[in-house]
Order: sequence, then structure tokens, then C-alpha cells
Amino acid sequence: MERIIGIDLGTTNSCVALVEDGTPVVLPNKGGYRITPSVVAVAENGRRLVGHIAKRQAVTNAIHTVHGAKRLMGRKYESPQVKRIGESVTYDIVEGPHGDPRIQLRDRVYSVPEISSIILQEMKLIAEQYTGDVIEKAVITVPAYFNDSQRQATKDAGRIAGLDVVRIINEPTAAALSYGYGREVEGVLAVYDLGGGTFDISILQIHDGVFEVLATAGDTFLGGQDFDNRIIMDWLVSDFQREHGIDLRQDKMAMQRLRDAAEKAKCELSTATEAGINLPFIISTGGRDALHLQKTLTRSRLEELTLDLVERTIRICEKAANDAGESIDGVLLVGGMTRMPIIQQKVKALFGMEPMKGVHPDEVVALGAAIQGSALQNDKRDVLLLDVTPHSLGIMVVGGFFSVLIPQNTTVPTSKSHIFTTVRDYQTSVKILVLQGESERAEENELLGEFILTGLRPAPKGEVEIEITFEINADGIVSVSAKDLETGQQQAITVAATSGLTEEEIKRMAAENQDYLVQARANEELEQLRNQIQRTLTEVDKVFPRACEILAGVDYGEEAIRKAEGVLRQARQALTHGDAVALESAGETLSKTLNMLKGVVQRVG
Amino acid sequence: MDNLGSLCARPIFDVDDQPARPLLGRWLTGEKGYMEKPGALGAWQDVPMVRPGVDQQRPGIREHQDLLALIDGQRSLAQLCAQSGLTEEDLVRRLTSLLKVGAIQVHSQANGQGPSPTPKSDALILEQAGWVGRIPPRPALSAGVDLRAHWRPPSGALDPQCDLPEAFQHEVLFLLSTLATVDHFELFGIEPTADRREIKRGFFSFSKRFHPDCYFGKALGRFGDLLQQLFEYGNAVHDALLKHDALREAYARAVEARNTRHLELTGAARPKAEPTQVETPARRRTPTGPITHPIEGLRRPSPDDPPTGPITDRKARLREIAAKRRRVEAPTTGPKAPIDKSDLEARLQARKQARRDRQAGLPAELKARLAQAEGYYQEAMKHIAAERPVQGASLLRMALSLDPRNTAYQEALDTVDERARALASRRFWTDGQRLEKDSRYDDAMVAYREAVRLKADPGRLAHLTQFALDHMADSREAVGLAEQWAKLCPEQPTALMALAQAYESAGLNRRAVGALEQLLSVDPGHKEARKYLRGIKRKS
Repeated sequence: MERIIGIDLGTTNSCVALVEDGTPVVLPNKGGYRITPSVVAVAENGRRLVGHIAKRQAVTNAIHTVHGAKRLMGRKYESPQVKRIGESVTYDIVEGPHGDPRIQLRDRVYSVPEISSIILQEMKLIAEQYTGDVIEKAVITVPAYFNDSQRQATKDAGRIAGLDVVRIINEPTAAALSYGYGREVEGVLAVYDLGGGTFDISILQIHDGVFEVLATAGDTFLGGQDFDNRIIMDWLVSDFQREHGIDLRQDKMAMQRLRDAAEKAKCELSTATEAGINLPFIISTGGRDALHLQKTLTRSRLEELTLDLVERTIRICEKAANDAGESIDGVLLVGGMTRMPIIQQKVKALFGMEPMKGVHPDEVVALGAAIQGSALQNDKRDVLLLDVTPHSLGIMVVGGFFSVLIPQNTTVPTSKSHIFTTVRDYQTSVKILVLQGESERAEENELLGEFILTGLRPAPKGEVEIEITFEINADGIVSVSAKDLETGQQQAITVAATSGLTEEEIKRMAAENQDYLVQARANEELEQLRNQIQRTLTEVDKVFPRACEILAGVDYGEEAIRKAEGVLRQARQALTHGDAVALESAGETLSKTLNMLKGVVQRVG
Repeated sequence: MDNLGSLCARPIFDVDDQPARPLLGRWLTGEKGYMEKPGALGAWQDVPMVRPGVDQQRPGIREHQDLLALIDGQRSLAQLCAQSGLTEEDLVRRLTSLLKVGAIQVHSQANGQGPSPTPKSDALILEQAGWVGRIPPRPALSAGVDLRAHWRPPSGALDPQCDLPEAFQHEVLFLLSTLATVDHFELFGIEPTADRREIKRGFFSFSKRFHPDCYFGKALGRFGDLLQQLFEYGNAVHDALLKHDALREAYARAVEARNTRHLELTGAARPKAEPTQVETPARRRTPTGPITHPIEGLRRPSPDDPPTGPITDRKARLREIAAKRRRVEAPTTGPKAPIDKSDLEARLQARKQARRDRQAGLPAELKARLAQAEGYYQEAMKHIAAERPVQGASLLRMALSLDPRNTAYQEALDTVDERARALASRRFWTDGQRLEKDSRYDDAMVAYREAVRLKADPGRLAHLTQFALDHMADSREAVGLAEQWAKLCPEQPTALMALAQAYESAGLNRRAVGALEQLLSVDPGHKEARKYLRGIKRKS
């Protein structure tokens, strides 16, 4: 049976898991780490670097290293969020052909799903190395409050990476799944998920293996990176400017160092009460002079800097708890940021109970995704997820209002229809604008797509009846149809192509990605051949003088030495500028020669 | 059965020819300058407008849904005032806004001449008339919670390409084709008396059986779509049942009435009516049980059910009923055999005979049942006279199960039940007191809890709350008790004070503040509470 892996594609870290014999396990990467930083870089020689390697070289290669690409997912270049990201990141964001943000790395422009696909590719590779099998299917998690285009972009990223994304599920739901799997859990669970870039709260009812999401809320632009930014912008940079009159923001390398240091200090403060930030030679002031940055961050200072961010999450929680309308029996904390003591305190105060321990905040989401993957495949039907749509869906009606057809927190799959009518006398066509969001004003919501229903019977206004049907299927795909009830005329769209990439682009990118992989694998093989020859050569060098001595005194000895020398020369040439074929043949003859030489030396002793 | 219709997931109210229309129309078309310039999303004339009906999600209605739920049929302002707990002024303001968007109409008196004709000032009309009524729901195009206006049941053919077991395919098809007559409770395999929790359970087991995810990766053929439709329907039913308790209760009453009537009509035809079956005619096997035959266990559609579909033409209705009968009697699948004349004649005779038997049999069986019930009742009365209320109650329950609508039995049961409970409660309470004296607090708590569950009076709750605060490590216990006490007597300062204390000891300061504020609104001169409130506020 094909295996389905679970991938937690995070803003700062990613994680991959698999269910083995009924037990979900996190798969370690080549370095033995269970989580991989979501960092992608392009090195000087054009090689793509992912994970820890990319993160380690970030300081020296700041402008070609992408971190937190997930925050750009499915957004418009013109949106204020992208503008804000543009100010704080070290890489260049440019506008793409469909108004989507793209990232310039070296001589190529990458779309955001492409960057994410490189991470997904790495996760796929980890799983393939672990199982020794080809992996083609995956469940990927997204923040619960992601809208349709953000989800679609994530799905596209999976396709570019050569993965069949069988399901996109919500991170807090996955966490609850992992918590409730294999345990006798009953009752109402609140999942507070504060990750690197996003915040989610979901409230679920669990009974007999059914996980029903009652309510979900969140903020896709509130996470650990915002906490880091507070430390950097409101404290380090502004203090530095006051002291030395220098704006560190101009120096990308300095900013990258600040970012690393701030993140480290923040993590330390979860256990310690103060952390030192020590960055010598942070910026040069011309000539040989350089300035250093040396400060101590206390926990209370950090809490002061980020108090409003924490409060924001608490307010969102209150709303979700209100929407759920059930009393909560337990609270689960997910995401690295929930290690911060002030957050634990606030959550405890809000729900009036101690949050549950016993899940790993960084790994629980990937485990949940893997569980969902295996639950979909096995026949036991012990786990069933009833998730909800996080945003209201509807159309624009006269007056610029937003008429909701599927309200938020509706369990999917679902379909709703409503009858609308015309506004003008003898109107023959009507425009349907499909929107997603919570505002009553249409233009404040996200536009998912639009189409026109034509061929209406010319009639006085209010006479023609048009039935609009919204449908969300189990995969979370939204489709909308409009039908003229009189003539039976029908128009429908599947809301899909809104991620900023067209179908051809995705196909092309998937193909390019495949090409790159083939190229990279070939290069790797070449590298291995070279290493092999190098090793053999050193061995030959060791035995060759002794063999020469022996051979000098035998018949045909001279001839043999000449031949061996020829082989060595050929191998050295192949090493410097040979292709795969030359290297291979050289390696073969070289190893034969080595065997011959060794035999000679051994026989004589 | 108007109540059945009013629990649509998507009630469409038709307000054509209603006085609210002009107002609504103005609001919709934006005559007051709602939209002067074309929006960024396109010219406003091009987009559709809401059918002049009422969308529940619409601003102006969304915030008054709880009030709207109270108005089924006609209600006087005084009734509404009492039920909603709003002040009269507030009520009129809210009703006015509902009136404006056309969700309700005004009657000059109960069952009077209907809506008053000329709109003057809305508030004025309301006050003069004193009666409001909900705009009656437009007949739904398909009954119950409908998915699409022109949804049709699927054809009965199985799909050989489908991986699902044939019996399961039958079940799906059967359920889909009977959605018009299966009530919401039957769909989930629960009783009409089910509470929120049981509804959830029922929905979960329904989901485990019919959610498309449960059959992921299987070749489903057209059943993929059908399963999704069935689940969507169940989903809408779940929402409808849980949205408003008042609406659900009205619906449950209607369902029970229908089922009782149905039982009377078909009871004789059943081989033998067990008492439990009599009590719960809607029972069917749990959805997780083994599949026998799709039709077994489900209530058959009865010809006497009111037309729930869009059938208005009498002839069409008769045709439909005949078709239903055929469906029930004929084997569900298989090609039609050529009709044999003599066979037909024999069947006709047999059916006539059966009808005669039924008519003759009905009163006899009924009589026997009633006699048995009466016997139980007499027996029960003897026990009650001998001060054995528990035995009396159980006999009365048996009598009631045989004759559910006998009010005499019901009344007797109510009083004796009360007495039985009080007796048991008293026993538990004295037990608790004894244990408390021995300092066995946990055991005492168990006894007390039982006593209070059986019969809660303010005095006991007061004692118990204090006891829980003093001796129980888990302060949630005290919170629960204090909440119960405060609910019983919401005006009593000591109860609210104890509630605040319980909240505070559980760390729920905000709720404690709420309780104290309520206390102060009842008795503004309560000094102790004021001081306490200050203390809490300072601390937090």
C-alpha cells in the first residue's frame, strides 16, 4: 500500500512524520534533527540549500537566503502585509506577472510556492531515505485561519515538489488528532497554536474517535517572527540608533545577525530570566573602526515589548470560545512560542485551567497530519475529522454588501443555496463575485473569483429568480454555481486558480524542479566518482614506489610500469576535466591497476 | 405541521405583499444612498440582489435570532416580554428592527384580521397592536432541511463498479429517497427527547457511517456524490437541531405527535408491540450495527403523513401515496414480472381481508392494552397508599408506557415521583450529615451530591456550597453547586455572594466580578459585596 506522509510546513521549522504499525513517528533528517528549519538559499555556485545548511550560511549569504516564505503564501504583492514583510526581510521581493510576490535569488525569480516546494521536496527526501521507498502522497498542514488562496498555494507547492497532496488539514486540528489518537479522550478541547508566523485557536469536541471542530479563529500574521521583530526593531535597532546614530537596518548582514541573536535570546528567556546579546563588530564605521553591540534582555523587558501581541491572541481565543458555546475541558498548547511563560500564564488564566503537557509542541502537528493520512487509508475508520471552514463564503449583492451563504465555522463538506433576483428592469446578465471574509462590506473581503450568468429573460426587476449554490467538498475545494430557475441556464466555477500561478506555470515549475533534481543527482554522482578516484590514487601512490622496485627486476617489468604510469596520467586528467563517462572508465582501469600493483607487492612480501 | 417546516436549515420567508416590503426594498436597493458610487468590485447594478426574503445571516436579523426563535405563531408583546426577559422598551426597539427587515408581521389582535395595512410608525404600530407573528415560511421546495431547491432523490440502481457493499448502497439510496419522511431524530437514530449531548453522539455515529472520508481511496462511482449529499444533509440537520433549543423542542413535539398518531394507525398491523417499542416508535437500529435490510427498522412512510413535498395537486398526491405503497410492498429491486390476472385478483382479495382484520383487530388489542394499563395503575395506587412511592412510580411508568396519553397516570406519576425523589433525597442527606460528622468529607460529598440531584432546595444548596468551599480540594465542585444555587434563587444575596467566593477560589476572577455585580444590581446597598468586589478588582 502506498504510504501517506504528514508534513508540517511551518513558517520557521518544518517536520515530517509517518504512521508505522499504528504508531506515528517523526522522521529525522540527515543530520539527525527531527525538525528542519524552513530556510531556502541559493549558493554562489547555483546550488540550492535547504534546512540547517541554509540557516547556517544565512549570515554570509543574507540576500539570497529565504526564511518565513510561508508568510507570503497566497498574498497579493500590493497587500500591506507583503509591504511589511518587505521591510523586515533580507531578500528581495519583486512583483510577479499575476500581482503575486516573487523572490529574487541570484539570477532567478522564484514564486512563493516554488520556495515552499523546495522545503517540501526536502521533507519528501527525508521520508524516502527513512523508508527506502518512493513517497508520492502527503497530507500537508496549514494554519486554520488560512484562506482559500493560501491553501491553494500550499497545494500548488506540493504539486511542484512532485507530491500528490491528498488533503490539506488545519494545524490545530492535526495537533488535537495527535493528542487524542490512541487515547480515550472525550470532551471539548481548546488548541492554542502560536507558531513562527501564525496564530490559531481551534475548539474541538472529541468523542469516540470523531474530532469535530466547533469553532476556529486566528491571525495569519501573528507569530514568533513578530516577537523577534519587536526585540529587533523596538529595542536593539532603536537603542543602537540613539547611542551611535547609526541605522542598522541599512545593513542586511547586520540585520541577519540581529535576527539570529534575537531569536536565540527569546528562546533562552523561556527558561532563564535574562539573556545576553553579544554581537561584536556589528557594523563598521569606515576605516578600521567597528561598533559592537552588547546588551542584556530580561524576561520582563521582553514581556513588556510583546504584551500587546499576547493580548491579541487572548482576545481571539475569547471570540472562538464564545463561538463554540461549549464549556472547555482541556487546553493544548502547540507551537514553539507557547514555551514562553507569559503565554502559558495568560492561557491558564483565560481558560481557568492548567494547559495539558505531554505533547511535543514542535512535532505534534506533523504527527497529526500523518495520523490523518493513515486514517484515510485504513478500513478501521477509528479516526474521523469533521473540520470547519474558517471564513464565511458568499457573494456580493447590490449596495456593495456581502451576502453570506456559508457562514464561518460550518462543518465541511457542505453546500448551501439561496435565491437571488435582478435589480434592473430587463436585465439579461448578472455578475457573480465570489468572496471570502467576515466584513459586511464586499470590498473588504478576499475576492476568490467571478463569473457572469447570461441569457436571463428580459423581465421587470425582481422577477427573475437566480439560485446560487456554494459547495465545499471533503477536500475543501469551493465550487459555485448560478442557475436561472426559469430557463435552467447554468454557470459554474471551481474556485481554484487564485494562488497566483496558472496551471501551465505549475506544470512548468514541476518540470523544472524535476530537471533540477536530475541535474543535482547527476552532479552528486559525479562528485562521488571523483572522490572514489581520488581515494584510489592516494592508495596507488602508497604502493607504486615499492611495486616499481620489484617490477624493475622482472621480465616485461618496464612495460608494466609504463602502462601503469599511463593509467595514472589518464586518471588525473579525468579528475580535473572529465565527464561522467571518462571518470567511470578511468576509475575502472585505475582500480584494476591498483589490484595488480597490490598483488605484486604482496607476492614478494 | 407547520413546525416541521419552520426548522429548515435555510428558512426562506416570503414577504411579498407584506407591509414591510417597501421598507425592505428601499434598504436593499440602497435608495438612501447606500451605494452612491460603483464599488471597487464592479458596477453595482450588475450584481444580483437578495431575493426579497429574509436571509438569516443578514445584518438586522442575525443579532435578533434568539428573539425570532421565540415567535412561533402569534405572540403578544406581554408574552414576549416575559419569555425573553427584556424590558418593554428594549423589546419594542428590537421588534421594530425585525419588522423593518421583514422578518415578522404585526397583528392587531390574536387571530385577528391579520397584518395591519398601513405602515405609520413601526414602533407605534407595535404598541397599538400588541401582537406579532412570524412571517409564515414559504413551503419548502423539498421537505425538511433541504440542500438544493430542486434536489431530487437518486434513482434506485446500484453501481456495480462501486466498492461499497451492496447492503450499504441500498441503505444510502433508501435514506436519500426517504429524506422527506424521515425526521431529523430518526436520521441520527435518537429519540425526539434527546438533549444536545445525545444529538451530538447521534451525529457522530451518523458521520462515522456516512462521511465520505470514511471511504477514501475506494472506487465509489456515483456513490461518492451521493454519500456527500447524505452527509451534507445530516450536517444541516445537526446545525438545525442545535441552533435554537426552543425551535428544536417545538419540532420534537411535532414529531412526537406525528409518531403517536402514526402508531395508532399502524399499531395493529405490527405483530406484537413490546412496551419499549410503544414508548419509542422512532427507534431504529444503531447505525453502527449490522446491516440487515435497508427498510427494516425505519418507520415506513405513512399515507396519512401530511404532504411534506411540493405537492399541492390532490391527484398528484394520491399518485405519490400509491407509489409509496408500491415501494413498500414490492421488492425494492429487480425487474417487474409480467402481471398475472388471477394472481392480481388473489392479492386484491388478500389485501381486503387484511384491512377487514385490521379494523376488527384494532379495538380489541387496544382494549386489552388499556385494561392492562389500568391494572398496573390500581396496583400502583395500593403501593402509594402504603407509603412505598418508589414501587408505585415504577408501576405507573409501566402503565404509562401502555397508554402514553392518559393524563391521570401522568399526574399520579408526577406527584408520586416527586415524593419518591424527596424520600430518597432525604435519606441521602442524612447519610451525608452522618458522614460529615465523622469527617469523611469525600464520602459525604458523594451522598450530598446525590441528595441535591434528586431534590435541590436553596437551604440544602447553601449548606452544601459552604461545605464544598470548606472541605473540597477541587474548587470546581463548589462552583457547580453555587451556580446551581444562584440559578435557583437569582435574587438572593447570600447565594450570589457564595457564587462569587466559589469563583474566586477557582481562580475565575472575572466571573466572580460578574456575580458580585449582579448582586449589587439586586441589592445596591450590600456593603460586604462592594468591599469584596473592590478587593478582587485590586488583586487582578
